[in-house]
Amino acid sequence: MRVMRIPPAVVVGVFLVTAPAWARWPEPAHPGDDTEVFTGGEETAQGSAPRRPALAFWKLRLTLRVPAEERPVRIGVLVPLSDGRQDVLGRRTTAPGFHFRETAIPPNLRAEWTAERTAASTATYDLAVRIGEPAVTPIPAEPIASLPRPPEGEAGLAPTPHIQSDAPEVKRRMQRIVGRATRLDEVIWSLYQYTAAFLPAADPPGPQDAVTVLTARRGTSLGRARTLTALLQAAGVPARLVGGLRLGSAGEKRATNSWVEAWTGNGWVPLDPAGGYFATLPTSYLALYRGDLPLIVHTAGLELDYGFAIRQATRRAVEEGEEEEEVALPAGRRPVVRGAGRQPVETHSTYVSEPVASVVLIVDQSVPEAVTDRILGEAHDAAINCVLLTARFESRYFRESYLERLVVTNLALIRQAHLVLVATADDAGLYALLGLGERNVRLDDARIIAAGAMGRPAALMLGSLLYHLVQPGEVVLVNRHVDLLPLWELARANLIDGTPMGEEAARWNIDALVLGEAGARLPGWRRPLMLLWARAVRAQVPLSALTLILILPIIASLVVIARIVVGLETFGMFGPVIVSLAFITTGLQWGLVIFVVIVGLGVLLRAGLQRLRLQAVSRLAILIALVSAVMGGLTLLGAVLGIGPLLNISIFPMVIMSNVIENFAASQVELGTAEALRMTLATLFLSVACYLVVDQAGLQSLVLAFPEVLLLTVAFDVVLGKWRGVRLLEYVRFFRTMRHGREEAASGSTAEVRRS
Amino acid sequence: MIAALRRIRSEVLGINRRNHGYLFAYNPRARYRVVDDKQATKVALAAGGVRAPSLRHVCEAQWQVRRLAARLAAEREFVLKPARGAGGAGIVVVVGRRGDRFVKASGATLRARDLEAHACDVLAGAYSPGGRADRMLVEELVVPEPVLGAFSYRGVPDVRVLVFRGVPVLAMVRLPTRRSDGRANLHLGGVGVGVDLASGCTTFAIQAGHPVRVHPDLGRMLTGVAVPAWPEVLDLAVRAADAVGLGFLGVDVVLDERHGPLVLELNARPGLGIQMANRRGLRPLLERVARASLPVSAGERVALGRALAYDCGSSR
Ligand SMILES: Nc1ncnc2c1ncn2[C@@H]1O[C@H](COP(=O)(O)OP(=O)(O)O)[C@@H](O)[C@H]1O
Ligand SMILES: [Mg+2]
Repeated sequence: MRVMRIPPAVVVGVFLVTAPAWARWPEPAHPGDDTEVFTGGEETAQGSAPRRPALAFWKLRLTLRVPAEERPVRIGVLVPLSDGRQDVLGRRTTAPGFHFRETAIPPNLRAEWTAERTAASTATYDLAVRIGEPAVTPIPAEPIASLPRPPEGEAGLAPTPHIQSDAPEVKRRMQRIVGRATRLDEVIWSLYQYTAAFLPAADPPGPQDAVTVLTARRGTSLGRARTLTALLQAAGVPARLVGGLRLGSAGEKRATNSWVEAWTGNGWVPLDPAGGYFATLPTSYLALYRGDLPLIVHTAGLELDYGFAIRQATRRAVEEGEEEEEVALPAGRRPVVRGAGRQPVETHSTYVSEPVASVVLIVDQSVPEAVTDRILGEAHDAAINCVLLTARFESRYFRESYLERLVVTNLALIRQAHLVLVATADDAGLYALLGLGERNVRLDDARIIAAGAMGRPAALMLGSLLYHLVQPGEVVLVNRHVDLLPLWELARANLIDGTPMGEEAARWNIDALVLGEAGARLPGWRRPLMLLWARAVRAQVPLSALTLILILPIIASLVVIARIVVGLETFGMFGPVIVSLAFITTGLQWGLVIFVVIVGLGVLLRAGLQRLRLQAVSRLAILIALVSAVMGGLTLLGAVLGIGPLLNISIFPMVIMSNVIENFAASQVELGTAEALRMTLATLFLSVACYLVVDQAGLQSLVLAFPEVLLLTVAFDVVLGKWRGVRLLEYVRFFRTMRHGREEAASGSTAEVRRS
Repeated sequence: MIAALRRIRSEVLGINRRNHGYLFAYNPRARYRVVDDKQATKVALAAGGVRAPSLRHVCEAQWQVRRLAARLAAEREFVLKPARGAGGAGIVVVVGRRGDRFVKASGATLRARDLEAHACDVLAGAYSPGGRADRMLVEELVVPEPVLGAFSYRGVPDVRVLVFRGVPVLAMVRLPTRRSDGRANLHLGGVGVGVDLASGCTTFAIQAGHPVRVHPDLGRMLTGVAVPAWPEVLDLAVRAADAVGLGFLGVDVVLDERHGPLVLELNARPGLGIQMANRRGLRPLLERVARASLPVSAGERVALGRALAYDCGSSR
């Protein structure tokens, strides 16, 4: 949600620049004026063995009750992230009067509320999580000595004042317990068994550091976890503390629970000596943070009251679980988690306990965050379950493909929705929805509202197609990019009061095209065409790719104009056409970068090849090899650095690029570098112009609605092919000399000879 | 300024009109082959009794390259040309020997190995359109006669005569410069000097699309120079056009010290820069020739062209 009108390349650039900073993020020193709330150890009851579902959905609300303060207030709470076991499906915070942000402190995420002063207020932080219970992870029966190191590094695994893994008594005890065992599974099992047998702490508990607990053989869950951690570390097994919540009991909860994770070479295995879980955890355990950290850090002297309200939810109420969710934050900075944060593509949801309706919102960068935030808030208040899918890209192709991906990964959600509200700058959202048709999804009673700049005929065709494929109750198309809020009002009114869409639209003065039982219809003679498209979609033909192909003649006509009317000299005719298509899949910025890199390297190599004196054909083959190597390299670079556009580069027309290089080199030799550069620039310029036209002008919908346009382009090409006028650049060229008259420079001798 | 743009629109022949109005209409497709292949041109010219620099050797296949190199070792001066090259590409002009090295017009030297490699390139189609396999011609070196030679920087000047329906309509002298590396092509930086058809005297000059008065390297005044053997040049051009049967073409005539005017090359898609060198649009001339009924004899057509130029020249 953070990226608004920043082009993806810039985002990626910023990400690249900031990535090292993330990596070096210092463990925050606890400032002296802060109060640390360690909450572990209050709950020590032996875990019973309840009937455990393999998958559980939970909703949590952390409530922070802050008294009025006349000074700056700061509250930081460590909040859960997705790991292999648990998935955070949605986050939301309300914090009146506070400034909210989330800071990544790898491997944790901290939510922070700050304010210059506060009135007595309540901040909430809502979470929806899905927790799976994986099968017991087998611990490899291998010698400890051969254990690979954890990818996170050894930082945080060193002895601390509470986890004295280097203390002599810890070492001695460890050796006694482990004995001759050297295998990882034996060592972990014996140390776990040993600490699991400790007694719960007496009330009130004494100090809970590892040495004390080890000596007393008695401690809280935190104390025992610390002890086990120290013992494991002393035995050479990387181990860390996990702070979490045991979910389940109704009402408000303050206590956290602690357990241990041991590194087994290919993953972290949970060990809960206090709860009695070895290498597995029930679905009621939610990990909040890793490390021996306080859950909450706040300004000293603040009388903060807090608590977690926990409620088990049904799968349906939270979300279907096939897809991998990305962590979406309503505000603040996104943490870098599991490779997320690469693209401005997000899923974001509000959850209400007993929703009256459920809505899916699909928007792109044209809708400001403030608007979506407000809609999410209002939905929440109106007890409407709302899921927001966003893909913020200037490039239409990107928007469309990412939105479609989001639609496909959230099929289950969309299936349940009563209303799908799409607001994109153009028709990208509608195309994305066609993904539903491709997968035979029917939305029986639901309504689809889509807003975006598109021509009425195109909207009629696309809308009818969608209506035919998905069979919703109604499809409402707004042919102009309106403010989303009135649309939302309209939708809400429809959901709550059942007001008919058309009527409601008229009340809001929205010029809408309503397709449905009683609504507008495609003229009869256009229907066969629509059915044809529908067949294509059903047959899994990606409609946007098909229309992209159908646009080619239009681009070709553009090139014809550039050459015949303007007189631009480019390297070949196909170059600009095909390069412009490549730009569509990579986005303009990266497309230009790739073009320049490839042509630049190619020209350098070509200059080197000149010395080898090879024949032209083999030289060209070598250039192709170079170009493919560069493309492969860039693709891998994209994969490593997470630069999405670079992954699409393989579509870049290699042979055409090689030809551009060869042409460049040839013209460089014959006409000089300046001229060769000029022709390259002209080629590039034309490609960019074609790209801009194809990506922006709604041409795709045009050819969808009127494939006849192709005949028009042919007629147009014929006319241009017969045009005899002077080209624009010829005017420029001839003007330099033709503005001088013939007389002024005619020399006397000519006149004399003429007379003789 | 508006007037100049108007004049360009109504008088200048642009590429679009050249292609539609003249190339398609007056140049039969089949005849292009003759001019696009310099060897075929020579054959056609010889058949029409038009003089051209003589062809010494032709190298048609890679295996002949070795033999060619051996033969060239005996030659002092020669020109290597791809048969299907255009725009001066792939042409190597050897003007002498220094030891076992060949001296190029630019003064640079080449080894026999370099020539062989160049021949391979040419045969592989490096300089022919579409990369099609090509032949390499070895041609007699033209030594320019002194009048125009004095205006050339290391290379051979030529006279481009534009012939339409067998009538010369516009001409210019093309002078090599340092920038064009001894070649006379305008787009490489050669100087184009318009020639008044009637008098055979140079009028205006351009280089790289800009008007110039003096030769950029030699500093000599370019205008008012009488081109030697002017009537023969025009006569040769007209007969060359007849020989290949094209209606609209550019004939490149060189003036050799020993042999006089020779047709160096024919161009079925002549460039349009000649209008700039003459400060005169082609369209009025072409339209008059298109309407005129043409005399049969070459001499009379030359006279018609010169009269036309005089007419149009004085009407301004
Ligand atoms: N026989 C020759 N002797 C000297 N110079 C030559 C000869 N043939 C060509 N050249 C030089 O090469 C240039 C281009 O030759 P040309 O035959 O017109 O080929 P192209 O079709 O590539 O223009 C001429 O302008 C001239 O400077
Ligand atoms: Mg030439």
